[in-house]
Amino acid sequence: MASSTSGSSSSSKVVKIRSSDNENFEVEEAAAARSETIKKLLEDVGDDADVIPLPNVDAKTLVKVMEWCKKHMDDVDELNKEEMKTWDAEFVDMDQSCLYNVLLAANFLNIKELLDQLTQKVADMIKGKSPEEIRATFNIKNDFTPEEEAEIRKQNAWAFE
Amino acid sequence: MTMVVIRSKVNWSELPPELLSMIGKSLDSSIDILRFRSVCSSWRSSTSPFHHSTDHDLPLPLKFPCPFASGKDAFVSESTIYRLEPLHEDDPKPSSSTSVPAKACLVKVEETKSGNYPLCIRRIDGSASPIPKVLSLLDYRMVELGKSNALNYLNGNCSMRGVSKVIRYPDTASISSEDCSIFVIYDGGKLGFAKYGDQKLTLVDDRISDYNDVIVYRGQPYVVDRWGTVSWIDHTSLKLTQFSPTSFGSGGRKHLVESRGELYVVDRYLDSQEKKLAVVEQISHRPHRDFIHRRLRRINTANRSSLPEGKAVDFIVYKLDQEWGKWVEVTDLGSEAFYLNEDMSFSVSASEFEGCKGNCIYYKNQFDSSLFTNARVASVFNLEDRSIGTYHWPRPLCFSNQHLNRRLWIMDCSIKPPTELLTPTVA
Repeated sequence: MASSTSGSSSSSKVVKIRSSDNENFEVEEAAAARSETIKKLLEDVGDDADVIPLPNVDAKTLVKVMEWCKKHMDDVDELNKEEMKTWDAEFVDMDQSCLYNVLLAANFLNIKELLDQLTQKVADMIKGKSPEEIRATFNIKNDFTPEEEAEIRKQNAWAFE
Repeated sequence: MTMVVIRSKVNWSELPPELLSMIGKSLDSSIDILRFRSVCSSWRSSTSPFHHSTDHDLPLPLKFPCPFASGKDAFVSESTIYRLEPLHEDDPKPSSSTSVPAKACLVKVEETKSGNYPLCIRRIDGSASPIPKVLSLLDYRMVELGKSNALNYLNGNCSMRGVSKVIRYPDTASISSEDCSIFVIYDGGKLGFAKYGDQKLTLVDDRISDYNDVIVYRGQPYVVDRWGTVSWIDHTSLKLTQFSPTSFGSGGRKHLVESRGELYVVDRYLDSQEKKLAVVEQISHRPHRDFIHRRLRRINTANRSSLPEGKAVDFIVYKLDQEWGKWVEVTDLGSEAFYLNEDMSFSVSASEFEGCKGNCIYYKNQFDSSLFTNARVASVFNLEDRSIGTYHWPRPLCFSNQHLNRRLWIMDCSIKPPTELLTPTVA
């Protein structure tokens, strides 16, 4: 699936990874190694690695994460920085359950740069909103005790001078 | 709410604490952090109340060398301009304490040193709406419009004199203080720079001393001089790269404004220039506009020592054409309105504020006066007919929050000016 693109150089090594729902993927090693977790696993097992199981990431999410890794496989030169920024902005613009799953996957796979982009995206969705609006956006229940609620009211109150 | 069905699959309150903490750190303002912590208990416990209390975030106040050889330290303070928007604007609720202000309005939130600021704002007589004793920000949306910085002495109440503009770079909140730097435009027009920890400021391109404005645009510092030359500054080498091919505009004062992600230069023409221009015209009989502009440039050059003073008589707006790398004159701002202030300029969508008109530039003639002061008479330049009118700002209302150590100024245009300015209505 992810290995189907033919543009890459012939020397690039391919590794196999398996999602939690038992789908196998072939990914260029340079792309997969963007994940510190996979990189570490590869180093541990050496060349005998058959398939690397990723029990916390389902196929749908893994495809998405590997799409990012492939794009970020090589270092970006100054010229392509703007283009990459645009690509990244479009990439993180996904539906909420997808965003949630990719965020968890990026955390588990330890991909620092992707994690930064995703948490920034969530922060941008929060910015400017009132707590009530944030709850509505992310479908979160207000679980504060009346005491906590009173404390929050107090902290958010501004006194006229 | 049909969207809820799709969303119910994931539970954002169950995110691992380390991820919630990362999200909290990506928020820029203390108000956003307070709101983040007011969502639910897991979000609340994931983040400490203030950015500044964790070790690697910005400690307050951020210390820099004084731009002048006084031996004192200077501290960078930050203010943020927001559009404050009531959540329940359409509610037929009678005016309760939380429904004022009832319409979107401009607010400025600034850092305070507790017990150390003058209390000069009192209730307005004859105001149409009652002023709430307590304003709960839980009932409002707050959309950030821009940030401004100032330099202060540790025990001083007001910002340092002799400095016309300060920006902190980078302008994001969650960076360590070691990575912070400041750009300062002195009143004389020199541009100074200091990294955190520096002993003194370094002048950027010493030969030039007519810088008018500096801004962070798309994460990069840009500076404009009085001739309209816009350059971006490489903050490591302090080298300037000229952005506009040729300088333009012979107005007396240039402002940099970001509006809807685009960079604008606003050129302010002053009456003090016009008087000089009249002299030029007398000498040269009916000169061509370009000729006048060249002559004006020469006259202006003779007066390099300080920012020009005088009343604005005209404005010309230029926009950066990214594709062609050139500046094009803009004659119509559409629904946008520009606010020019000494410490920062920003742009608003006029339809979002009552009493605000699009395609206009709001400004004050005194360069040192900011929007949120008691000097309430401002001017408005209309790009459509190039007319200049007066505009009466409402008196800003001041609220404070002990928990955040912040002061908040409201410019509520729906609170009517004092009675003498009101036209009689049928009782």
